[in-house]
Formats: sequence, structure tokens, C-alpha cells
Amino acid sequence: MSKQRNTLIAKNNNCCHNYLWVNNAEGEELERFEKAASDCSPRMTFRGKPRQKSCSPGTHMILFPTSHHVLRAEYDFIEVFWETEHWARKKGAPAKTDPLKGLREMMGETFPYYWFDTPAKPPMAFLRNVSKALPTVDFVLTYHHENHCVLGVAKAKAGRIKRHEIHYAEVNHYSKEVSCG
Amino acid sequence: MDNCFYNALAVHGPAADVATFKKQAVGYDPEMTTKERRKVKPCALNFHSLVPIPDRLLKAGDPTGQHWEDWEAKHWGVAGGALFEHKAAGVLCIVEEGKPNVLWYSFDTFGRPPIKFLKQVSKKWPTLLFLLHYQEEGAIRIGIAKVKAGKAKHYQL
Repeated sequence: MSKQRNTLIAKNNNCCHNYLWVNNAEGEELERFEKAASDCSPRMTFRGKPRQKSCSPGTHMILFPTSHHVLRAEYDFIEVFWETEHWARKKGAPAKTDPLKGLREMMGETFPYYWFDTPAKPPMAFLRNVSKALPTVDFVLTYHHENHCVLGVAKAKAGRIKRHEIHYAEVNHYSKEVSCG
Repeated sequence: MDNCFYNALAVHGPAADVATFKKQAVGYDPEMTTKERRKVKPCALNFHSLVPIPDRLLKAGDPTGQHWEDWEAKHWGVAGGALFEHKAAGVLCIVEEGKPNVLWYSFDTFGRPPIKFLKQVSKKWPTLLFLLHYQEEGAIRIGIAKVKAGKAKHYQL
């Protein structure tokens, strides 16, 4: 199964580029978010204990296990179900893709954003869940699905999401080369 | 005081047109003297280079800055164009390797997103498609827009 997964991931260039902005987060909330986001995927656990001593420092998001983890992990129906339920997607992050964290300065204030790819869809269910867990924080997700020619934006607060999408299929004829990672 | 908007702009189009656009977008604020220009790099997305402030206004001078700002607000939708002197990162222009059909810009504007400016630019560059994402500081107004040949589709949250 693991070999099949590798092939799937290697072939998967149907990716969605995401920017997640974390606005109006106090220090403690941001720490809570980052702590939750750097946890191990349940796929990395065995009987409730992590299979490895620690997660990769590059894994900022619980929903984005690194390719290293993804490739090592065994596939399991229950975990896929969990992922689909909680992240609205499955199969982990595409190979070569680790989330990146950046800091944006605006009018003297600094706030963080995370840049990552997901296969096929933007992580809407994750957005809903994380905004429920941190109800005072504004999460803004911008996503860009090049293969589907979709640009979208979503704002989540306390579990409620507002979202818009723009389709731009007219560029298909000169933007066919799309890759992920 | 107006709030600051962060903008991410993607310019899609035929490779040759995208490359020409990238060159033409570079420039200096017309207010800057030759001496001042020697000290700094040109801005990667200079609004004046794409939708120029008329010569008659520039020649007349504007000590208070009000006449120019009025013109900019009317024709660009934002006074001051892409702000770079306030930001550590400045205006960024990113070209992804192997993707000559797309250009990415990252810049800030005051007061509102530059939709009006993009409408003007896209009239001059009808083969290009402009995709904009913006967010106001504090995430008060957030939106996306698609602009082509003078027409815009714009959604704001």
C-alpha cells in the first residue's frame, strides 16, 4: 500500500496553494495555535503514542505531515476517514511540500501567515475546526488552484466561514504547465 | 486615517506580454528627484509607469500633493500607488521558475485595493488577466478580484 501511496503522491500535481493568515491573535492564542498545528498526525501514532519521538520541525500544521512521515506511514481506512472528516481531504501533503511560515509587517504590526499546498481542495474543514478552537482569532485563507483555475478567499471566525471563489478558465490555453511542490 | 491594504496580484498571459509588462511596470515615483533616484532601486510595480500622471499636472508642480492625490484617487482608486517606503519587504515581484506565463506581485496600498488601477491597466493590456487578493489590516475587508480588458469581477467579504 505504501508503494501505491508514493506513486499517488508523486503523480499528484493537482494541488491547491494556500496562504493562511492568522489575524488578531494574542501571544497565548498564537502559541496555542502553533502548538496544535505542530502536533503529529494521528497516522503517526500507534495506540495513542507517537511512532516517532518527535515530529519534523518543518511540520507546522497537524493537517500537513511532511512527505517523510507520509511515506513512512501505513495507510489505514480509519485514519483516512478521520482525515476526511477533520481536514476535508486525505492522503497528506504532496511530496516535497512542507508548510512555510512567514511574518508580515503592516503599519508597524507583525502577524504570521503560513504557506502550504494541499492536494485537490483547500482545507475548509480544518479552517472551521481551528477557528472553533480559537474563537477570538480571525483566520483568512487565500487559495489558488492552478489546475482548476480557481482563486478563492475564506474568512473564518468561531467556526463560521464566509467564502468566495473566482474561476478564470480563460488562461488555460497559455498556462498549461502546472506543477506542485 | 486610512487603513493599509495588503495586496497579492497575479498577472497571467502569453509569456512575451508578461515579460513586457514586467519591464514596463518598473519605475520611480515622479516626485523623486534624479539625486533621490540614484539612492534607491526602482519600484517593481510603479503605478505611474503603467497609468501615468499627465505631464500637465507634473509640470504644474504640486507642493501640497493634493492635486496629484486627487488625480491618483480618481484614476488609480488609491492615492500614492503601491507603497514601498513604509514596508520592510517593499514591493515584491516574483517569477516562478518554469512559469513564464505568470507574474506575482506583493504590495500595499492605502485606503482601498487598487481595482480601479487594474481596470485602467487591463484596458491597455487586453491579453493579460489580473487576479488580485487583498486584505485590510486587521482583516476588516478581504476580497478577490479578476480583471480583464477593463472589466472586473470583485468579491469582498
